[in-house]
Formats: sequence, C-alpha cells, structure tokens
Amino acid sequence: MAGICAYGVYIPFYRLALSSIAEATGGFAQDGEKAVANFDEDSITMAAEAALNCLNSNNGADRSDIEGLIFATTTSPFKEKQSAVIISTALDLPKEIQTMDSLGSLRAGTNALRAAHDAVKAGSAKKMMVTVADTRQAYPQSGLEGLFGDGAAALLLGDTDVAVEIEGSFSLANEISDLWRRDEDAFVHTWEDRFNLNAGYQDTMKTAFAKATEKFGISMEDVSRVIYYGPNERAHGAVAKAIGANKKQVQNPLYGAIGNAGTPSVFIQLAAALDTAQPGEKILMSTYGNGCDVFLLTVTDHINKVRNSVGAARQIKSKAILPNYHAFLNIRNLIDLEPNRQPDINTPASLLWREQEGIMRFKAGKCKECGNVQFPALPVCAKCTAQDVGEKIRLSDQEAEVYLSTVDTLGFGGEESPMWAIADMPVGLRIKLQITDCEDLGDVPTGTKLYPTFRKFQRHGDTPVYHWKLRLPR
Amino acid sequence: MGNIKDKVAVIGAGTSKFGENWDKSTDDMLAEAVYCALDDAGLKLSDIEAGWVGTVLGGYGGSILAEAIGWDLMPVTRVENNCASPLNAFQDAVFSVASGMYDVVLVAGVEKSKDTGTGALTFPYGFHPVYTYIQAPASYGMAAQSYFKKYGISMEEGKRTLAKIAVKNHHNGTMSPKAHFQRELTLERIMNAPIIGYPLGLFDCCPTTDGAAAAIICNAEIADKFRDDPVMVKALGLSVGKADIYMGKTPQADEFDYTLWNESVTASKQVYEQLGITNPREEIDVANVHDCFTISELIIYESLGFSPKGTAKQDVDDGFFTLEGGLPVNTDGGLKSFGHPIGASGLRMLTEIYTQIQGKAGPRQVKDAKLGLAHCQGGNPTGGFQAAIVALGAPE
Repeated sequence: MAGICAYGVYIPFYRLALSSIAEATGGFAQDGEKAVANFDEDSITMAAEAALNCLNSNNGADRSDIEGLIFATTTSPFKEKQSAVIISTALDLPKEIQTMDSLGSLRAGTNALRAAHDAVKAGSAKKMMVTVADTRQAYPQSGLEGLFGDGAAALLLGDTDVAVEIEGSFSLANEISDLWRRDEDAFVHTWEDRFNLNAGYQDTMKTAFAKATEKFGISMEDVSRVIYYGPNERAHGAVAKAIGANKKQVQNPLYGAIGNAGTPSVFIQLAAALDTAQPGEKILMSTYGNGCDVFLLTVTDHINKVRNSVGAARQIKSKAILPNYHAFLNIRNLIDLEPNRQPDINTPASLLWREQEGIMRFKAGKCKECGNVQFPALPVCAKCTAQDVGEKIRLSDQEAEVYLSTVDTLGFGGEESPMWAIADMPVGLRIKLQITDCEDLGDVPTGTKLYPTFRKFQRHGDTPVYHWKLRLPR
Repeated sequence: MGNIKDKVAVIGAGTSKFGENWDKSTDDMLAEAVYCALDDAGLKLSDIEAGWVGTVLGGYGGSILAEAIGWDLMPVTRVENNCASPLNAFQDAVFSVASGMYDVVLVAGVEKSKDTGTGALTFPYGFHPVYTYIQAPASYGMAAQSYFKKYGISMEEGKRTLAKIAVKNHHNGTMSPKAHFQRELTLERIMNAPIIGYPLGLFDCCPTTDGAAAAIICNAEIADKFRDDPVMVKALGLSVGKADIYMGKTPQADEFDYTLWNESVTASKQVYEQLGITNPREEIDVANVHDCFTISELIIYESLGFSPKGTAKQDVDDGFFTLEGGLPVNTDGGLKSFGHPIGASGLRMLTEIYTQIQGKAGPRQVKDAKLGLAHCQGGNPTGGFQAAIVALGAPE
C-alpha cells in the first residue's frame, strides 16, 4: 500500500520569546516562544532543509527514484517563478521530474500530500517528495504576531518500504473569508475571532472528523493519535472535545515552542509523532483552511528503519533566543535599516543558470586524471592541469570541519553573514563558505563540525540567488 | 630566466600627497606625481617616448594617463594586476627600455579610493557574485590566527608583536611629509583598538587612501646624461597565484596554512637569483614591503627570507626592522602611514628605495643603503596573491 517512506522536519534556529513583544510594546506578556526564520531563510530554503533532513536522516532515499516534488506553502517567495524546481535542484533530484507548487491556503500541504499519494497509488510516480514550509507574517504588534511561527516538514511517498500507510483520505471544501492575504498584502488579514473560530474552524472540523471517520469506518477510539491544525492553543483544545478526542490522543501542537507554523504545522506534528510512534498505531490527521483534508494513517514495522536522528524534538531544543523584539523585526525584514554602502552586485540570471550545478546543486568536480576534488568544478584541474574534469560530487550531504574561521566586520551586511569558515570536507575538499545561524561570532574553533545549509544569498539587485552556507549541528 | 641587472636606470621619481584627497581627482593626482617625477629628473614631458599606468579602479585604458597630463597620440599602456599593478607596470616599462624599443619612458600609478562612499576598500566589479570573497582584514585575520597557533604564540603576545610593527611604521611615517598619517601611535592604543577582522584591530590595517606616484626610467647607458646619481634596476620578480574562488586542494593548498606567502616567496627567489645573493637578511640594505596589515608584514619577513620561518616575532621584538636595525623595512612609514591607493603604492615604495639609495632620505636615511627592494602583494590569504618585487641599487 502506498504511503510515507521517510519524513523530515526543519525548525529554524532562532526563537522570539513572546515576552519580548510586551517588553517592547507594552501590554500582556505571554509565556513561550515562537520559531523565527533567519534573514537568509524563506519558505523555499526551509522546505529544502526539511527535504534534505528527510533524505539524509534515512537510509532509503535513492534520489533517482523520486519522480515528483510538490512544494506547499502560503508564503512562496515568488508570485511568478516556480519554487518547487528551486528545491528539487537544491536537493540534486533528477531533472526528469514533475515539480509543482501547491499554494493559497493552509491546506496546501495536505492538498499536495493527497495529490502525491494519488500519483504513487496510480503508478505514475515511483516516489514523490512533498515538502511544506511557511514564514507567515503578522502585522507587528497584532494578536497574530505572537502566534505565527516558522517551520517546515517533508514527506517522501512511495509504495515500497512504506513506514506509514495512508489508508484513507477525506476532503471537505468550505468557502469562508476567515483568514486571507490578497496579492498586494504583506500581512495576514482576518475577520472577527468569534466568527472565525466558531462558524469557521470549530464547526468545520467537527463535521469533517465525523464524516471522515464514517468514511474510514472507524471510531475515535480506534486511533492512538489525533493530529490537527489549530489557530491557537485554546481553539485547538476546544476542538478536541468537539470531535470526541481525549487528551491522551491529541498530539502536542507545539504552541509555545514554535508557534502556529501554518501550512507545515500538522506535518511538523506528524514528524514529531513518528519519532516515537510504534508499529500498528493508527493516526488521524487533518489540516484546516477553507475546508479540511483528513487522513487515516497506519504505522508499519518499517518505521524503526526510518526514525529521524535529527527530529523535531531535537531541533526544538537546538535554538538561540533573539535578544529582543527589535532583533525579530530586523531579521524578518520588517524595518528599514541604513543600507550598506558597498556597491551593488546584481547577479546575472544567465550566470546563475550557467553555473547552477555548483551554485544550486552544490556539486564539486573530481578530476578524471588525478582524482583531485575542487569546488567550483574547473575547466582545468587545479592540481594536475588535466582538461575535462569528470565526475561531479554532491557536497550538500558532506560534513565540514573548520580549519580556520573569522568575523568579517566589513562584510556586505543585510543578507550576508559576517562569519566565514575555511573548512575541510571528507571528499578531500577545502572550501570557503559563510557560517550562518552563528551566535558566537569570532568563536568557531578549528575542528568544529559544520553542515551545509541552503540559503537565500542575495547581495543586491532583484535576481533571486540561492546558494549554500554552513551551520552548526542541530 | 635572463637577467635585467644594470640595463635600465631610474632617473626620476615622485608622488602626490597621499591622503583623503577630497579636492583632487584621479587626473589631479596623476599630474601632480608625473610632474614631481619629471622635475626630479630635470626633464620635460616632450622628452618621454612612452608611458605606462597602473591602476585597479581608475577607469579604462591608457587614456587615464593621457588625459591627466594632456598627452595625445602616444604609446600608453594601462596595467591592472591588483595590488601588484604599479610594480607590474614598472616592470613592463623596464622591459620596453631593455629591449631597445625606447630610451626614456614614464611609469605612473594612481588610485582614487575615497569616492566610493564606504570606509573600506571597495571593488565594484570583477568578483564572482555568488562565490564571494572574504574582505581582506578578515582573511588576513585568519592568517594571524594560523601563524600564532603554528608557532605557539598566545593571542596577547601575537597582538603585541603586530602592534610593534604598526608603532615602527607610524614612527617612520612622521618623517614623511607626503604620508596620509604623520603621527606616533602607542602600543596600548593599537592593541586596544576595535576589531576589524579578528584578531586584527583598526591600527593593524592600513587606511583607505587617495594618491599617485610616478617614475622616469631610461637606458642605463645614457643615465649619466640626465643626473649624477641615477639608480639602477637590479632585478625584477613577479609571481601570480590562482584566483580566490578556487579552493580545491591543489598541491599548494594541501600544505598551505596561511603562514607563508608563496607568491612572494617565488617572486623573491627570482630576484635573488638575478642579484646572485643567497642571504637577503645580510645582503639587502633596505626594503619597502606590502604592509596592508601588520600580519602581512610579519609574514613577508619570512616569505622574503629576511627572517627564518617562525622567527620573525623575535626579530620584531629585537627591533631588527626599525630604522636603526639590521634591515630597515618600510622606512617611509609603509602602507600603514601612506595608506594604500592600490595603483600608486608600489611606485611610492619604489620612490622611497630610489631616494634611500641616492642617500637623500633625510631623517629616514638608512646608512650605506646600496641595495633595496620594493615589494607589492595583491590578493588575500584565502586565495591567490599577485606579488611583484623590484630591486634597485647603486651603479657598480
């Protein structure tokens, strides 16, 4: 039976302590934290990280079997230009692949999951990657600001070595303007809370769970876990009662740890659940957003082979708290700081296209003659001067070790990190890359292990640039 | 490799005022330097047969020089080889004279660094937009970390030794009226300055500066016609490494630990071979080297063979490179005092060596200076360097 073969998750490194909002703006100080994407992250980079986590943390993933990738988000960095193809390129997936963006509602992720599952079930793809991310922006100082957190999760679907069978799915569409963001809006807009939560969220969830369990031929007692979206902790708790789930069954929605992650919220919860789920467990999962998509999942014996070693719990613990609310506004680009006076470098789109093997797929060249590995791949070997360097080696799954590092206080500011590393990779490469998500500026000693991370890399100008940096282990 | 020794003479040299020349353009500074060199040589522009100009950011083509000095329809070459540009231009001019093509030619170099709106040296083009470079202070900072670690020097000790280099150069600079800075700095102030590229502080870095410099050279056989004290070109060295973005473990990179400047090593070997010397520490009388950072100068001592590997710190502590020491280095104050207008620096160094060999350096004069080196080094330790060296000496 078709289902989930592997799963991955990505929680960004930074947190905003919700109390620091009140410290800056007055009002009631909330407890807890929310996850905040760094200045060089967006939904594309986080979705790529989650998918890499899925590919690297598990044995099963042979990239050549992956025949489709769907990226789901409400916060695509592009209104025109496909994001999924950026992610599949970063993952070094085959070029003969179906790529698709699933957009526009918090159901985008489960819309994608259902489509991918159908594709595998129908035999039109051996394996499908679904990767889901959001970086939703709330108006500064609004009620939603303390709620919205950033994150991503990915699922690899297939019909062999299935760790979680997808036994059934049920969808319900519901036209309502409870939350929306028009083309020209930067921030999420809402109607009145009581309308949204009662007429919208709670009634729809209640109907959906009732009809879905009926369709699946189960009752709530048959499932060990219920995973579902909730706009906030209180509304999420109230729905448990409405759908007849008890507290033990309800998966922790992670408010106070990462916040409401939007589209990937249920996928992050699922990833956390699968880290401890036992074979035979049945799980009900539902998103909410202009309707519901409900799934019935059954965990198989294979789960023990694809447990994620860098899972949600570990990434939630691995964090740095932003020093204050200002720092949050700054890294989410919500205030204008004085621009750096370094000259503009608008990266040519033609160069990015020409050099995408190195810049995006992060592939080094290996000399046919002497075996020297070099990045970027050179037309002539730097060691033996042989022409026509042959094999390409993917570096995104290499562990790097710091040889030297330093802070560049004259750096380009904005989206450029001030930390640099000269680092060695096991393939025999010494590489120079920026270090991101780095709190101890000037203190990344020789020997420190670092991992490649796909990041936004835009100096100036309007051409979208994504490339690789290094980060500390999570 | 052949030998250029005593074939070409320097008969004039001079510089513009170095500094934040807000009121001077590239043209203004070039004209100032060229006329300073012409006056020194006692020549008119019409006596010159061809020209070379070294600059990195200074515009396009040989017209940079032609326009500045109203020189029309002349053979002018523009040379860009990063910080080695001025000495590279000089070397090519020397080859033209040595070949017999011209008898008297002009070499100039200029940089207008202060029109960019930033405090740091800024390169608006020429680098890969994605595989970006580490700015020079941070890159040299990594070299300092590596050097201290390799030779068991604590950060405190290392920073103190580097500060002594800055103290020395700033002291020498007080005797150079055309230097950007002409003031003494204390060891404490240097060591406590804000960090620019860890562990290098503000005064470990040379300033960003405007300036121009020029030299007139001629066939050695006719040099006596122009002046009583011509200075001979004794040797030339040039070595260029691979570009910054390519970090593959090359034979060089495998062993490269940022504690020796290989391009400067090879360029100096070329020079010593032509000079026929084996002990530069004893046989070179004076040197002006590329002290873009204090750590650059420390490692240059070892790269040029002035100090055995790992011993430059001891030499600095002993005052070996001060004006009174065994081998005075950066007698005019170096890049630390003059700043670093890229296209001009090498010719500014050359002007000082020329002046030292003529015995006209006044309070900076090194006793019995018969053989001296000017040394430029472009690039940075995380990539390839461009090293150029010119040896000047008294006629035999």
